[in-house]
Amino acid sequence: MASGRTRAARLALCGSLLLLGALQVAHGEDRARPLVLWHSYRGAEEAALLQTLATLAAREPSLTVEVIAVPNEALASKLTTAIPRGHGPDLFLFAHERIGGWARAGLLASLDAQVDAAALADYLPETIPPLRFEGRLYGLPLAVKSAALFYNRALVPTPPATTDELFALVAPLRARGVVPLVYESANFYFHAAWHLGFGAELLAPDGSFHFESPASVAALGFVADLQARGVVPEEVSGALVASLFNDGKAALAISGPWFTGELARGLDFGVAPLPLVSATGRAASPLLTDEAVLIPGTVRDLAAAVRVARWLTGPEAAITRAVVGRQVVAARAAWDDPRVAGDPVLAGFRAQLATATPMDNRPEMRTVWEPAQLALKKVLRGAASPAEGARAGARRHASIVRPDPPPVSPTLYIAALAVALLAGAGFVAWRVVAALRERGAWREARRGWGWIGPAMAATAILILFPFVVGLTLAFFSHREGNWSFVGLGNFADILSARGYGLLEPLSFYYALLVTLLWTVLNLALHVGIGLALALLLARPVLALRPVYRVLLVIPWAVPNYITALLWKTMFHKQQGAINGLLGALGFGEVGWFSSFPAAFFANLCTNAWLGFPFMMVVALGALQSIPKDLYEAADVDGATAWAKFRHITLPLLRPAMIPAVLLGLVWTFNQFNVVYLVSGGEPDNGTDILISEAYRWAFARQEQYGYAAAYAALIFVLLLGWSIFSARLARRVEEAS
Amino acid sequence: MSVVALEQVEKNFGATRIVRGLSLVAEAGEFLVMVGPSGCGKTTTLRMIAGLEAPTAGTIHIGGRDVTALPPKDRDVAMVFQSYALYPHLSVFDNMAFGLTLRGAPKQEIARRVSEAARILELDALLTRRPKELSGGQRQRVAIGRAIVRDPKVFLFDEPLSNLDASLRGQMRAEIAGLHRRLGATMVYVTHDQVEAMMLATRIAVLEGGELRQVGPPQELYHRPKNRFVAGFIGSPPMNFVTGVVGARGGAPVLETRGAALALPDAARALAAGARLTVGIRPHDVRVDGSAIGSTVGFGGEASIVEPMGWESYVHVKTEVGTVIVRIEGATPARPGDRLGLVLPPTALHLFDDAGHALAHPVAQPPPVEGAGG
Ligand SMILES: Nc1ncnc2c1ncn2[C@@H]1O[C@H](COP(=O)(O)OP(=O)(O)O)[C@@H](O)[C@H]1O
Ligand SMILES: [Mg+2]
Repeated sequence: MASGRTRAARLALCGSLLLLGALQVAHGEDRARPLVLWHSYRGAEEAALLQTLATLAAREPSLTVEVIAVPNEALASKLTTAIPRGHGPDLFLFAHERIGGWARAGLLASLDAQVDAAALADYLPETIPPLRFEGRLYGLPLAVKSAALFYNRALVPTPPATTDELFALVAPLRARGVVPLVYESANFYFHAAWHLGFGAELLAPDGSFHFESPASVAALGFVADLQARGVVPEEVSGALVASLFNDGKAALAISGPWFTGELARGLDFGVAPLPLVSATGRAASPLLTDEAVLIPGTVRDLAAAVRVARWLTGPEAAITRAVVGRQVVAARAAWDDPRVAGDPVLAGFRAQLATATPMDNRPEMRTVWEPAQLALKKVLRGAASPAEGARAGARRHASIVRPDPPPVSPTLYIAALAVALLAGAGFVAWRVVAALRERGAWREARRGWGWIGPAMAATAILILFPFVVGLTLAFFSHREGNWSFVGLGNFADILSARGYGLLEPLSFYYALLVTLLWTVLNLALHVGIGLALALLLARPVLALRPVYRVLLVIPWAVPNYITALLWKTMFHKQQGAINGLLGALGFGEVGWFSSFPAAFFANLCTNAWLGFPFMMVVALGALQSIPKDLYEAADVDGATAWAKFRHITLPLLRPAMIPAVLLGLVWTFNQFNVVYLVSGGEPDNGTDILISEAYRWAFARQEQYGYAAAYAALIFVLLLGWSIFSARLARRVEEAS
Repeated sequence: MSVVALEQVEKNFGATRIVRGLSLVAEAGEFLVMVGPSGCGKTTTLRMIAGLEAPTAGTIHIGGRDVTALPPKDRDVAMVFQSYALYPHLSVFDNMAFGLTLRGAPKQEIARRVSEAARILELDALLTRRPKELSGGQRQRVAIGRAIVRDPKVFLFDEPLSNLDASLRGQMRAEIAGLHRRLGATMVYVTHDQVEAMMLATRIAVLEGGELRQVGPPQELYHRPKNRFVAGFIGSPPMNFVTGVVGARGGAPVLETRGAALALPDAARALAAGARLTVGIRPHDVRVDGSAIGSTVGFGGEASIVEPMGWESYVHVKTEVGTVIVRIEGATPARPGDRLGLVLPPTALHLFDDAGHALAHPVAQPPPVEGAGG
């Protein structure tokens, strides 16, 4: 058979290519292996990095460096999994805040033996402490990043030095229609500056975060005040910061060095340190991040790696990175260069360095973000007083850092698994033997396997294997690189809602209720709108039918995350089209993401928009297959339009619609994109559905992969139950029609 | 029982004229069959009576009431569709009960009428089945049952038997005839099959190209067709036609064609010599008889096609006046290639003028049967 032969040829080709690849790798191992460097720089920063490495290659041909760019979001998890398996790089560039966790997990090489105090004196002194963890040095600093105050010189010739001066700007600027200050006020990264400026601690020495300390509460009160007194607008996103500041509609902005790249050409602006907090007399202290060269503990040639790191962080490379990459470099000598020292933006950020606070590099720091932001958002949208907000934050923090389930002995589980596997294997063997007893069955079976084999292999690799891995993870607990076997502990925790109330956000049951409500309402809208439009489009009298049909399918054709982001913008409180429309109709502004009903409604609108075309297309197809003479027979029988719809259209649509609804139900149940991108779970994770909760446990809360895997397993069980039930239902409908 | 009256009904689809100036009456209790070749507008006419299609001009009365502008449900007619149009999701019972249910008839009344109709149509055992579990004939009966149950003023049938095989068709034909006798309702029945029309109709309306050609009892159409179209359409096998000009042989009128002369009946004496004329003769009026060959009534020829029908055969014979079909009794009277002598008796000839209008019919013919109105 021709097709069989081509397939065989193709397989052979693939096989030989793989073999060739393997040979080449083996061959490569023999030669002097270059040092591998992973980074996630882009644009000008990447260009500067590559330029410095090219210079190095010319200077020291023996030190060859191979550069691999990894997307920023993927870099951390790639490092965490690759280094322990020996596939990691020899050096990598990363912010210092992960040093504690990685050092504790043994992923990083300590540099104390390689880098002495004299060498460290080459760097700005503020940049060294963040690189230490438990007394040891783990990296060399490339550059620093912190927020600072951008000011539009045309609007404010001199930036406010204190918060009192800031408040004093309100009246004159507002009189000119200018917003005094824009920054992402609900983002704890920026809020930390006030938090610290009010004298609150970032992390206590024992790793705890004191949400309810008076200083922390005072900082929350302060930002509520900033908003209430018109210093900053509400619901400010990063995009809004750039657009208002660029258009001259905002006089001041708080942002980091990356912001310069987003500013309009010709905008006359300066960069200055954040103002003093007048209430305390302390400087507002933004978080400081060291971008550093780090070296994995598995490195083969530590000395060579350190030499490369020293070059990259040294003055010559630093000047290139400052001039080309616009980095606030850590090399002290670079600042003697007039091109660096004379750059007002770089100088502004360097001035901010004096009062910035390094981000705590302990793993506990990463548990702070979500609860801190919860508190902040609650206060900013007026749902809680500063004290109440702080209490809610503390509660959320306790939920996230609740202790792992106790480790259990895996013996019993392994025994159970072995019994199950044996039973399964026995069952399969029995079926195979029974099937093969027939004459000629063996030959038949072999041919059959030949046909389904490739598909089976693909299914096993792409679906079965990840599924088994995911299911296995559900029996482990994971935090910061440490795995422990906890048996059914994750399931017990989830199902007993340990750490939070049974019916508050974060509880499985709460999320389940929201998911069910979400699914049912969405399907009702999808089917309702889809059917109504299909009925309209099916009318032969309608002019321009094909045009409408194409237009109405568009929401389906656009990738759903793009649609979701568009709707998110449309629902923005101050800049969104929907509030604009409501305003034009004389209604007040609605905070779409500040109450559950509004946020849920926003999600619902988005997903209804995304989902109705599918139902419409299915219904339209089914409608067009209903014979016209049935309606005529009914006409003659005396049916009204409603009777025809009720007794003919609906029953005859059912066989087509029911499978579509069953399918739509599963899609909607797991509609992550809309929930994550539109409401993002706001308010307070209230609108999160099961799948987005699972995501947060895995990627936003200390990488609790095991807990998240258990969530996924529960979702799987729910959907499995549903599909068994719905398959029966579908079969019944099919029989009935 | 109601009169259905169409008056000067026209129907155009866009610029195409489908039905032209149709005036037609189905008397109360009558079984009127509309027959005509495919595409002549029969279905369209029926749909206009049902109210599924609005006439472009003209009026339609049912039971004395002008229904031209009324929707189907207000006309109290029942229609049996060519496709049956059964509701696929409903049982046989529910299909038949549908119209009554919509009209809000009491449950017991519905059950009584459905079971009565089911008994008449022998559907009792099938009431719980769905249409897809039925054979074609059973579906047809359900479609008729659906109409009966409603007890309408008028029944409309659109080629109800065309999807059935021959034997079933014969059986159903008899059942429908029986039904009409039993119910005595006005029925308007459309078919393209003139045999069906002949067997069922009290009167037949022949349509061609959207125009009425003739309406009357079957016997009248058969024996006294008003024009060449009707003459050719009614009767199986069709009438033989010979066209030529009027001449005379020995003082007697003849039809001259292809150098041959065919004797005409006395009625042709009035015709001007040289006028174009078509004569028609039914196959059973042609006699096989070689003795007259060479005269103006006898012609010889070769059998080209033989259609044996059992106790009779239809033989196509190529003669000097053209191909003539003759009916011959007996098992196998001829084989292709055989030479036969035919006699075309002048008394059996129908005469048509150049425009196709009938001029004369055979003199010796039975008087019209009962109810020859129209
Ligand atoms: N809805 C319509 N639109 C346009 N032409 C039609 C329509 N219905 C029927 N016709 C045309 O009218 C003519 C008569 O159709 P119909 O009444 O169905 O003929 P029949 O005598 O075979 O039942 C046909 O040529 C058909 O193509
Ligand atoms: Mg028809």
